Amino acid sequence: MYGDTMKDKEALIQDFSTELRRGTIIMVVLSQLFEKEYGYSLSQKLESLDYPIETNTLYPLLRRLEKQNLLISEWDTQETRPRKFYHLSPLGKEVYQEMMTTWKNYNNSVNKAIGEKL
Amino acid sequence: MNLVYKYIEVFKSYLPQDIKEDVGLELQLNIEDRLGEYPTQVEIEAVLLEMGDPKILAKEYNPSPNYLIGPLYYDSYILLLKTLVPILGLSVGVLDSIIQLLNGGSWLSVIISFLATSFNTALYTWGWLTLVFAIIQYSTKDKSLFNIVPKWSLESLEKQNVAKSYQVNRTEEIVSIVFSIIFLIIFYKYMNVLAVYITVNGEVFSVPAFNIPVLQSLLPFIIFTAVVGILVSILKIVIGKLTKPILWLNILDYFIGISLLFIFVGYPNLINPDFVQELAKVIPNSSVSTIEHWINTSLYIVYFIVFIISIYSIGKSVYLLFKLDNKSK
Repeated sequence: MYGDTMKDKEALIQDFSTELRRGTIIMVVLSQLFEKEYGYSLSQKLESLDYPIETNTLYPLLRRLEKQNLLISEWDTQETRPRKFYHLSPLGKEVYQEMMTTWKNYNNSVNKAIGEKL
Repeated sequence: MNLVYKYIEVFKSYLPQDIKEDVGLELQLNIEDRLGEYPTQVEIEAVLLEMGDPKILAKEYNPSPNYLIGPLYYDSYILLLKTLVPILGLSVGVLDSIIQLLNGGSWLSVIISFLATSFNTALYTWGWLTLVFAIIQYSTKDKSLFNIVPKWSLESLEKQNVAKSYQVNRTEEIVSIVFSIIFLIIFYKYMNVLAVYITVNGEVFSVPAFNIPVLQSLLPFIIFTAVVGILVSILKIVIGKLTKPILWLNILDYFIGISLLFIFVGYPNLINPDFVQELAKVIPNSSVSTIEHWINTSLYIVYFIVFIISIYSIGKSVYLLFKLDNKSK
């Protein structure tokens, strides 16, 4: 019985953490695309920043952001291996700036709310 | 690397045609980049396992709703499922049993036929309902149903008519659907059961009351009217409110009904002449002409009642429409 509640608690914490992180993924991905990156290089870069995103989340996300006109993609066939590079579109840059402002304000108010209760 | 290609092939097979090659190649190159030039089998397997089910991964590239019937229509769907499936299953089963008994079926065969008919009817009802709702869902996505579902806004709060006369009475609509379907089944399958049964030398003959070929020629109109009526009822249940388009549909529905009525009136040979003669023989002190007169009179009374009800309903819808128009000005 007690073990079950423990498991429930772990599952709940896991769920909440995933939810929290989910909200930040797009912002973080956009933040890394001021310069051109291809799928694998981006996933490595994120890993080195201690923000690893699973490839099966990251690759489809790039595609969706491109469809929403936030990213521009192009195939580079100059190198020995062709690669599809992504970078921020002008719209993507604008959206990212707005999101940063929102994030900072949000961060402040969240800290204000939970700060005293830590 | 063979395994990677297989993975990519399966992955591609789940992608929409227009992005298949591009996305497939991109994923393949990304996986190869990650694996380096000479990966071991273990490394390959680890990467593919991390990517997970290629079908689910492909779905991520083409997100579309994972449901047949969305939250907007779910409640109505479940309501109709819960009511229509058992009610129609049972009533059609009972109807069939009565007819089997009239035809002199044994109890055992009647019970078996009852179970089979009920089960079939329930299954058909479930299937058709799901189909209709899936079509509604598919054709409207989550947008409002051809703008029939009123979009929510503060203004709409002001305009919205919470008066009882604008609420759809769900029970009424369900009853109407059930009767439409039962009548349809009677017309379609059991028309020859309404008959005089005569015994000649121990054998039972039936003389149907209606002129079956005439009724059969009317069948397309009857089906059309019933289907329109059923669809309008389902729409009413889904939307839950008598909005302008719904009121117009209601009026249209009754006009179609009245048209069918006039078609019926225009068919004087609806009754089987043999039936009249047989009835005249069975009923004492009657002649063919009195029976004919009696049947025609009752038919016209039925027509008249249906006509009055339809006119009343049209009038009511027009009145509600008129009031709604005045209110929104």
